[in-house]
Amino acid sequence: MTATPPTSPSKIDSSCRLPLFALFGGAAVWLVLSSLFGLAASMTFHKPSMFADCAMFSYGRAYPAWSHLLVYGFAIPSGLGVGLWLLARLGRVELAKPFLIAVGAKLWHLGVLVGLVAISAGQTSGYEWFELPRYAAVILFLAFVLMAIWAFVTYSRRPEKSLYPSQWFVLASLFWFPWILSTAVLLLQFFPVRGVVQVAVAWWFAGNLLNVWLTLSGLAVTFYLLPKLTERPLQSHYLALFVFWTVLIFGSWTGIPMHSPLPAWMSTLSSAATVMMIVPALAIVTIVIKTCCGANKPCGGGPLCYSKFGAWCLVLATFVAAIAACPAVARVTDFTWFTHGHTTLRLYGFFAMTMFGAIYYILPRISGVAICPRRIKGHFWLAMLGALLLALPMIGAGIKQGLKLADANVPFLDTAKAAMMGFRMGTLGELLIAIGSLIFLANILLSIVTYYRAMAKTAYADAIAIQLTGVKP
Amino acid sequence: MKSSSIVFLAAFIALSASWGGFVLAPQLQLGRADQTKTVPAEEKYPLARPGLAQQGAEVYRSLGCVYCHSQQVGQNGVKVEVVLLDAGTNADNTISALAKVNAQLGKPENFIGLPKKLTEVADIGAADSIVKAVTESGGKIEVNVIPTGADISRGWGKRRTVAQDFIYDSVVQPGTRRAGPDLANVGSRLADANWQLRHLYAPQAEIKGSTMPAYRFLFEKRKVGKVTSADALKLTGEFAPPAGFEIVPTDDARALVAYLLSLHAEAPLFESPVTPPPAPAASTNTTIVAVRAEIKNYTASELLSVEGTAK
Amino acid sequence: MNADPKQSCSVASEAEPTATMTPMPVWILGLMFTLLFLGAWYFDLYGGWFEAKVYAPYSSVADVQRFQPKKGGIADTLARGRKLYADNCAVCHMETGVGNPANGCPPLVDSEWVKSPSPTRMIMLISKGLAGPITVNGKVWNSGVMLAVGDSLPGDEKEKAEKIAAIATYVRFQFGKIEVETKPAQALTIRESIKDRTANFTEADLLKVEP
Repeated sequence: MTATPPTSPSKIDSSCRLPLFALFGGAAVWLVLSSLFGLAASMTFHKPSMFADCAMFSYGRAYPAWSHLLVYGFAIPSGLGVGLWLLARLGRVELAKPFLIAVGAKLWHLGVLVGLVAISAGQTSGYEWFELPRYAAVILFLAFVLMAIWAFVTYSRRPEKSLYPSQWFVLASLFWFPWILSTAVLLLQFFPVRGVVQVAVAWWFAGNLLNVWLTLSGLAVTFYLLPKLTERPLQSHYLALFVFWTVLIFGSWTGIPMHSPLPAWMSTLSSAATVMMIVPALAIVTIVIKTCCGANKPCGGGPLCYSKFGAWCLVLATFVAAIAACPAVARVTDFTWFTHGHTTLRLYGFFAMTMFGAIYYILPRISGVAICPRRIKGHFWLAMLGALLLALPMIGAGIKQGLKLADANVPFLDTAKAAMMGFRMGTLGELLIAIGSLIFLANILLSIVTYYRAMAKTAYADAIAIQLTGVKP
Repeated sequence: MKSSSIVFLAAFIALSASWGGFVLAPQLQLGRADQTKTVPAEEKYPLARPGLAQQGAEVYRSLGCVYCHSQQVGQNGVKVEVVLLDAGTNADNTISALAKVNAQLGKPENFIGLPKKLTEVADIGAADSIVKAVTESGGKIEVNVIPTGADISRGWGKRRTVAQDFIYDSVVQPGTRRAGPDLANVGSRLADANWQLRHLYAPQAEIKGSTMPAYRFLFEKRKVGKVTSADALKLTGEFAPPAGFEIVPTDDARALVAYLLSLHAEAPLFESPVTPPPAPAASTNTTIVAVRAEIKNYTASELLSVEGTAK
Repeated sequence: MNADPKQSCSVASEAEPTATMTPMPVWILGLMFTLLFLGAWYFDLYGGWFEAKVYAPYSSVADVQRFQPKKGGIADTLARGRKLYADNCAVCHMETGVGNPANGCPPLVDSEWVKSPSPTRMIMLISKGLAGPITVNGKVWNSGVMLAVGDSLPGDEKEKAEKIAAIATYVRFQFGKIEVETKPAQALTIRESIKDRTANFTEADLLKVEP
C-alpha cells in the first residue's frame, strides 16, 4: 500500500462527518424511543391493566422493543461510529468512502425500524437480545458488513503504522459482530437447530454481544479519551494488551446462566469464565488509576467525567456478574431482577455513558459546532443518577426476591411484592435516563442542524459575493 | 502489537474457541436428539404437541411471555426414600428379617401405621439389602427417588428439566426471569382451561394482587345473542362485562391455553431420574379433553334456534 | 474548513495519545493463574466432564446411574403391560376388562382363563388369537375371531415374547389378582412350541393344554 502522508486532524474529522451524523443522529433518536418503551414496560408493573387493550405496549412486546432499540438502535451504531472515527484519527488517514458508509448507516437504521415494527406486531423471534425477525437481521448484517469493509480499507490505508491499543479493540469488534450475528441468524432463524441447542446459541450470542462486543467498543473509547483528556500517556501498553487478550478469551465463554436446561459442563464453564472476567476488570482499574491519578484535570461534567464513570461502572458490573456466577449466589439471584439490574448497569452505566462522552468529544470536532457545556453537564448528572437509580435498586430488589423465592414457604406473590420498592426506584431512574436522552438528542440535532445552516449560509454568502464581484472569495 | 495480523489472530482464536465450545459442541451432543424412552416404563418421550398447542406456542412467543415466565425447573439435590407398604402375612418374620440387616429399622414400631417412610438412603444400591430382606419375607416395600430443590418444593415440577424436554419446540424459551411462576409443568398444575382463560383476561380476578398484566386484547367483547355462547367466560364482580355483553376468547387465546395445558416435564428420564407418581386409572388425555369441553359445537337444532352466534 | 464563528472548541491538544511501555504488574498474572486453577477445580467437581447426560446436581454418569430405578421386577413389567394392554387389548376387552357384550368380547375380570395356575393358555391365546366361541364363567361368548395380536406386535421374537409376557402379567395381576410375574423366557418357550401354527386356536385346542 502506498504510504499516504499523515492527514491533518481537521481533514480527517470532516471526512467522518457524513457517516457519523447518520450514525449518531439515528442512535440518539432510537435511544429516546427505547426510553419510551422502557417506561411503558415498567408501568405495567405499577398498573397491570394499563395496556390490557393495547398489544403493542404490553410488557411482552414493550420489553423486547426496549432492548432491541437500546442495543441495535443506539449501542451498536454509536459504537461503530466512534470506532470509525478512532480508526481514522489514530491511523492519521481520512475515512474511506464516507458516502458508502453513510448509506450503510441509513440501511442499518432501516433494519432497526423494520425490527421495531416486527416486534411490536408480535413477530419477535423469541430470543432475548436477538428479538428481531430474520428479515430485519439480514438487513442489519448487510449494513454492518458494508460499513466494516470500508473501515478495514481505511485502516489499511493508514500512514501511521504502529497501532495504538484502541485500534486493536475497534478492529476486533468489527471482526466479532458479523461472526456472532451470522451464526445467530443462520442457526436460529434460517436453519434452526433442534431443541436446547437453540438456547445455547442464543445465550452464546447474547453473552458475546453484551460482555465482549460492548466491552471492546467501550474500552476503545476509554483507552483513547482518558489519556487524551488528562494529557498523560496511557499506562501501559502491556496492560492494555493484557486486557485485550483476557476480554476476548474469557468474555467469549460467558453468557450461559447457572440455571439452564443444558448439561452441567456448559453452565460450569460459563460461570468460571464470568469469574475470570475479574482479571481484566482489575487490569482496567490499574490502567484508569495510573493514567488519571496526578492529572489534576477537573472533568466538569464533560467527556472525561463520562469516561471515568463508564470505566468504573464496567468494573462494578464485572464484579457483580462474577459474584452472581458463584453457585451459592446464583441459586438466589437467578431468575430475579438482579440480572436486569446487572445488564442495565453494563448498558447504561458503562456503555451508554462512555458513548455519550465520546460523542460529545467527537461531534464538535466533526461539525465545528460547540455544544453548550451546561447541557453536557446536565445530561451527565441525569444519566449518571438515572443509571445508578435503575441498576442498583434492581440488583437489591433481585436479591430480596431471590431470597424469598428460595424459601418454598413464601407464597409466590410475596416474592413479586418484595421487589416492588426497588422497582419503583428503577422506574424513577428510567425517567431520568429518558429526560437525559432527550437532552442528548437535542444536543446532537442542534449540532447537525447548526452545521448545515452554517453551510447553507456560507454557500449563500459565497453565491452573493460571486454575483456582486465576479470573484470567488 | 505492531501488526494487525496478531489482532485478527487473537480475535479468531478466541471466537472460534468459544464457537466450538458453545455452538458446535452442543449441536454435536444434543442437536440430533430424538424421542427417548422413559425409565423404567419405556414409554416414548417427549410426544409432539397437538396442532392447537403448537399454534399456542407461536402465540406465547409473539406475546413475549418469556420475559416474565421461565419454563425450566431447577434441582439442588436428590434423596432416596425407602417406604414400607405392607408387612406381609407374617409381620414378625418380616421384622426379624429386617432386624438382621439393619437393627435400627427392624423394630415393631416401624411397622405401625403403614405405608410409612422407613428411612432415607444414599442411593438405590444402598437400599438393596433392606428391600431384599422385606420382599423375601413377603412384605411390600418401595424405593422412591425424590429430587429436591426450591422449585420442586414449590410444586413447580417433580424433577429438573433437561434437553430432552425441549426437542420438539420450535422456539425454545426456558426463560431467565420469574416475575411470574415457572410454567414448565403448568399443564399438570393448573389443568383447567376455563381458569386459564379467565386468568388471561383478568389475572387479578383469579389471583388477588397479581402483578400480571391483563390480556384483554386476546378476547372479544360482544353483545349476547339469544343465548350466551358456551365459551363465554364466567366472570364475576368488577371484572364481569356489562349486562348484555359477553367475553369470548379469540383463537389466539384458545391456542395459548391449549399450549399451556400441554406443558408437562415430569416423565422420568435417565438424566433426570424420579420415581413417577402412580399412574392414574383413566386416560391421561386431559389436555385436549379439557379444552374441547369448553369449545362446544352447537348441534343443528341449537344452531337453527339461535341468532347468529354459531361458531 | 470554512470559518465558522461558532467554532470555539479548542483543537489545541490534537496530538494523539501514546502508551507507555511499562511492564505489567506481576500480581495480576498471579491472580489470573490462581483463578484459572480454581476454575479448573470447580469444573472438575461440577462440570460432569463434558458428558451430555450429566445435569446439575449430578456430577458424573456414574452418579446419575446410582439413582436409576432397578430394572425388572414386577412393577416395571406391570407398567409396560398396562400400556400394551391399553394399546392392543382394551379396544375390545375394555380398559376395565369387563368385555363387551355387543361385540361378543368376553370379560377378563375373574375369568378362569386368566386365573389359571400357569400363563400357558394365555400366552397361546394372545399369540395366535381365537376363532369361534369360548365359555367364560358359564357364559358362552362368540366374537367370531380374536386376532393374533401377539404375533402382530412390532419387534423380533425376543421383543414379542417380552411384550406378551408383560401383557399376561398385567392381565393376571389386574383382572385375576395373581401377583406373579410371567417371565419372558416362559413366553419364548411357549411361542417356540407353537411357532409353526398359522390358524387361530379354538377353545378345544386350548382345553387340551395344561391350565
